[in-house]
Amino acid sequence: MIYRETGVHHTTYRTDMALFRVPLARWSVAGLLVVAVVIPFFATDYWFSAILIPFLTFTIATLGLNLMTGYAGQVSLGHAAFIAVGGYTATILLIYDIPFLAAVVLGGLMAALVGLVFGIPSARIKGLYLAMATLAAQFVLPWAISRVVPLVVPTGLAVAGGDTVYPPRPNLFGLEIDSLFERYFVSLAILVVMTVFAMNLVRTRVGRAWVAIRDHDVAAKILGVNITHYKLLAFAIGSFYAGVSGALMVFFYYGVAHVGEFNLDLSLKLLGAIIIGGLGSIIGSFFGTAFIILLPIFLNISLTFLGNAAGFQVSSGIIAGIENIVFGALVVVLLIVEPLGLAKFWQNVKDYFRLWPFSY
Amino acid sequence: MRAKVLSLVLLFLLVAVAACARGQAPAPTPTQMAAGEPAEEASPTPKPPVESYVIGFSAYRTGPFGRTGTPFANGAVDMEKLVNLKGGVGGVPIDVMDIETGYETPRGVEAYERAKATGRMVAFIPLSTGTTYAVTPKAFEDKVVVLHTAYGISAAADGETFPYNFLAAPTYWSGDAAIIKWIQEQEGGSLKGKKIGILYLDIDYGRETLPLHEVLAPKLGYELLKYPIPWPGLEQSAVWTNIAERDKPDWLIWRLWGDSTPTALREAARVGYPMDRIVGTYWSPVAVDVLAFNPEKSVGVKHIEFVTPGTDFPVIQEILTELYDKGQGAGARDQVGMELYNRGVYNVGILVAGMQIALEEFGHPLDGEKLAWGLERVTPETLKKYGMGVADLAPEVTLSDKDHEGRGFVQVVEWDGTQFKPITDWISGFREEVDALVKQAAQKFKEENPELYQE
Amino acid sequence: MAILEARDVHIAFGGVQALQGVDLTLNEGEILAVIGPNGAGKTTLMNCISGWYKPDKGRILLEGRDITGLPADKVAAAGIGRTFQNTAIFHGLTVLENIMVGAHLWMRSNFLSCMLYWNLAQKEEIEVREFAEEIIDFLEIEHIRRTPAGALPMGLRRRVELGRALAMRPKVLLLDEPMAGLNVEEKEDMARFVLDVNEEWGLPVILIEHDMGVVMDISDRVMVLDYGRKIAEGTPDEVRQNPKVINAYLGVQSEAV
Ligand SMILES: Nc1ncnc2c1ncn2[C@@H]1O[C@H](COP(=O)(O)OP(=O)(O)OP(=O)(O)O)[C@@H](O)[C@H]1O
Ligand SMILES: [Mg+2]
Repeated sequence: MIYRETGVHHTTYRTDMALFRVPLARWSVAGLLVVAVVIPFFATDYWFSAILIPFLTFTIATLGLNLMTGYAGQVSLGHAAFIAVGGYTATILLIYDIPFLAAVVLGGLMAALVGLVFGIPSARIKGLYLAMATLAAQFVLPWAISRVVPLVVPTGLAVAGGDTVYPPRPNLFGLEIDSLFERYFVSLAILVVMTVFAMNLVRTRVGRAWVAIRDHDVAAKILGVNITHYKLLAFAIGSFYAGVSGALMVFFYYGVAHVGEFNLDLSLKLLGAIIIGGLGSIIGSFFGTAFIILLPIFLNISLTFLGNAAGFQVSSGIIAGIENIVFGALVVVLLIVEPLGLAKFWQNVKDYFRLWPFSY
Repeated sequence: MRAKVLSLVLLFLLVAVAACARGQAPAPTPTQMAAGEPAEEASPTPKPPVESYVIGFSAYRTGPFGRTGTPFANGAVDMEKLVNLKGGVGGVPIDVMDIETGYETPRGVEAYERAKATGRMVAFIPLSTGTTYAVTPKAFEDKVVVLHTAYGISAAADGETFPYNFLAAPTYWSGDAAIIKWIQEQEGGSLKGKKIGILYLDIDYGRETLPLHEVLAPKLGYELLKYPIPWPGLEQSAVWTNIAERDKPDWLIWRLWGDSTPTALREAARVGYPMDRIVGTYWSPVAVDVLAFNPEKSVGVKHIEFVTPGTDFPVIQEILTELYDKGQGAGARDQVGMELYNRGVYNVGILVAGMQIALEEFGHPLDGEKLAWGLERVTPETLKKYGMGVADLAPEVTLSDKDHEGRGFVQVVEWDGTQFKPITDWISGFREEVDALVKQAAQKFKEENPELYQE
Repeated sequence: MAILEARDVHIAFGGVQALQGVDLTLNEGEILAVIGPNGAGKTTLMNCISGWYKPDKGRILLEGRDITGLPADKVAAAGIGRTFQNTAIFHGLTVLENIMVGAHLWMRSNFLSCMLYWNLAQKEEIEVREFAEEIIDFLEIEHIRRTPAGALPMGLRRRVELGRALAMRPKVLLLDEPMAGLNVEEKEDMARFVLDVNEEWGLPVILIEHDMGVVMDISDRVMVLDYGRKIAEGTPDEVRQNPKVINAYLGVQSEAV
């Protein structure tokens, strides 16, 4: 856990520019991965279905939104719609016997394409106005999906309206991905790859250009950054992440493509996740997802637990009320104490240990 | 300051994780709660052979649909208490785990898993379309009954295709078919040249009955007018202008939900569309919608019911005397008897009936599979015998291994200024057309999900 | 030989004639100072050259090539680097990253190779890093290379901005009041850096500056703007003695100097 920089000297820029510069950072990441690999051997169905798999799949979406909004500064209220595009595309491809991985990637690419189109207004407008423009995606896309999907899905009408589709069971190189255990590992692997991609993007030319545009678009342009190109790229890549996460949500979490899940509410939640987690922070995307998706569940369970331990059966309505109050209070307290989000908290902890035990 | 906050948050998380690690919170068993009450005398065995039978329940008393979710949840919880006061199921208490989900599917899925983690879940009540979709394949695997009364997957009326899904109430198709039948009667037996408009939320739920009307309209000669409203349906003025000034339909069928319904009531009043020409599906307009708009201005508005509203039933009276008179009711007394409240009572009641029937055959311990077997033997007679009074609320339900709907009878109920009152007997219509739709949809579901039918 | 020329540049904002037929010639290897009272049009001229404003009339030529009306990023690619009067660093990036953004326009790796940190991207990142470190050494800001630029005081911000412009490997450098808001010591440092850039890197510089001491010390030629017109041009000494200039601008200042 000790994050020390002292005593570490890099003799080449290559090692100094490695993904994790400090051996202990490398070690803690490795440790985290080990935990991620060991957990499923102890996890119950509950942990898989209610905690782990949603966390993994939603985090991919959060990462994408953070690249787009946190790094590149392009606010999007249409993220859930892009998730839907990915989820449905992948489902339909799977029905037409496209292999699982190809379906996921193509789902991502389709979302990227659609995201790109909805990102075009970013060339002219920004901030709140752009947010309103992306809101259009949230209305247009579900509508389009409900019109198009029944036409291309042979089993349409199986479930109400024909735009709700159960995907076939995906298989990876001939092996069915069926059990929760398998779903977990496939999601984990994809999340890890997507995380590494995101880290690479933000530490290189593209990521610097994004932040430059976010922080000072005039200066970025004067330095030769093609603003429109990089804004659109942010929309495309952010939506690609959304699409991939949508595919995994449909295959491994919901088990069904239902357009109602990908509503404005989800878009707002994801936006909340990156703000709470930390705008422009990869690890913040993880924290933020946990905060927004998992914390309410933890709260609900612990409040029920405390209520019962005190010996009376509390109405779910009261628990929900307390849950909302506590959650809201935590958000407010957090943003007051640390406006830069949980990632900054984490940074402070690391900074504290950086010079440990000689902190002053 | 920061360190303090940080450590508080960490501490809190630790507690939360510890609680979650147990999979669920250990609820005080309903027997403990009922200690000293008549339950003791009623149960022949002092120590039940099973701790409890869990009915997972995705409730929502908060969020955008909290207004409609509340009476239903209260009905279910009150019925749970009443059943346990009367000795539960063969001495085993039932445990309705009402977990607040705010009508969000991820929370609904979590509620399902939390209830399942007890190892004693026999049934789950999703009370949301999305959650029904998500838990249905799980239920196949877990062999747990999913009860979605008059919502969710209509194809689940086909019990052979959906062994664990039960509507135990009419589908949307049966509902609209019955509405058309009733309108036909009002029009003196013929719909020739009549205009019938469908005002629906433009989502899967709203659009679901359009295929039925496409079949019925040419057959009966009515003109079908479609009025889609984009989700969440708070902007309807354009549609209502068309209704009032351009089309002037003779009747309007509503397929709305939540806040879109009071909005529609307001618009109808604004453009002067006659309230008594509005017939909603099961979910709109319900009593809470009318109250949210204006009870006087809504007189005459109708919807169809699968559970009779009102308090003039022994089971509801018992709830009032045993619970509300003693200050133990789950909610507000004036919501008792609302249609949504009675549906909550019915949901738990019919599951209890299924459990009792299964108990006669198998004895303790029961599980989801046995419960499904029991539910398939619900008839008006068995429901009367085992349903703890809910047969009075829905007297025409006959389930079987083939039919998880129960024949599809509905009542038309009308708002009289203070409550919805039945104005018809139990009616149904156009069963052939409805059955064809169910069959077709079930077949497609089977094709779409071969892996569910492998074993 | 002229490397950069502006010919007869006009631009107006509403009723304000910001530039009215300004000519400018920057020769290879020289430092040209542009001076003039507040609102004279100095920054506007720089904006016209760097493509941020499109002149209403007139041409801008870089090495004889017409770059008038090109978008700013294309002008940057053509070889014009600049800094801003009000500093425009990227707050969320570290000093090192700020400088590396400067290298953006001559880097080749696309998003795919960046995402994979593949061969080209990795090689290029390391190459740019080495180059950026040279600039950092040159500007003596090694100690803050990993500090977020938003946390820096003005003096260092101006240095980072200079470094960023240098990282563009420009053919011409435009500096808009690089010493504004600095204390005497910092000004001396900055003057030294500008001279070094000019001498060691052979980079021609246009320098907008109010501090006459600095202008007279380091510039080869001076051009004076007033109300959007060029009123004088020549060596520092010539300009200092020009009565028009004294009248318009220097009179008050020279007493203060
Ligand atoms: N974008 C713009 N819109 C309107 N007017 C402008 C714009 N840019 C410059 N001006 C006007 O043009 C004139 C010249 O301004 P400029 O900023 O070029 O002056 P300057 O010589 O740089 O002065 P300073 O020494 O204060 O920096 C001013 O009157 C200014 O108000
Ligand atoms: Mg200026």
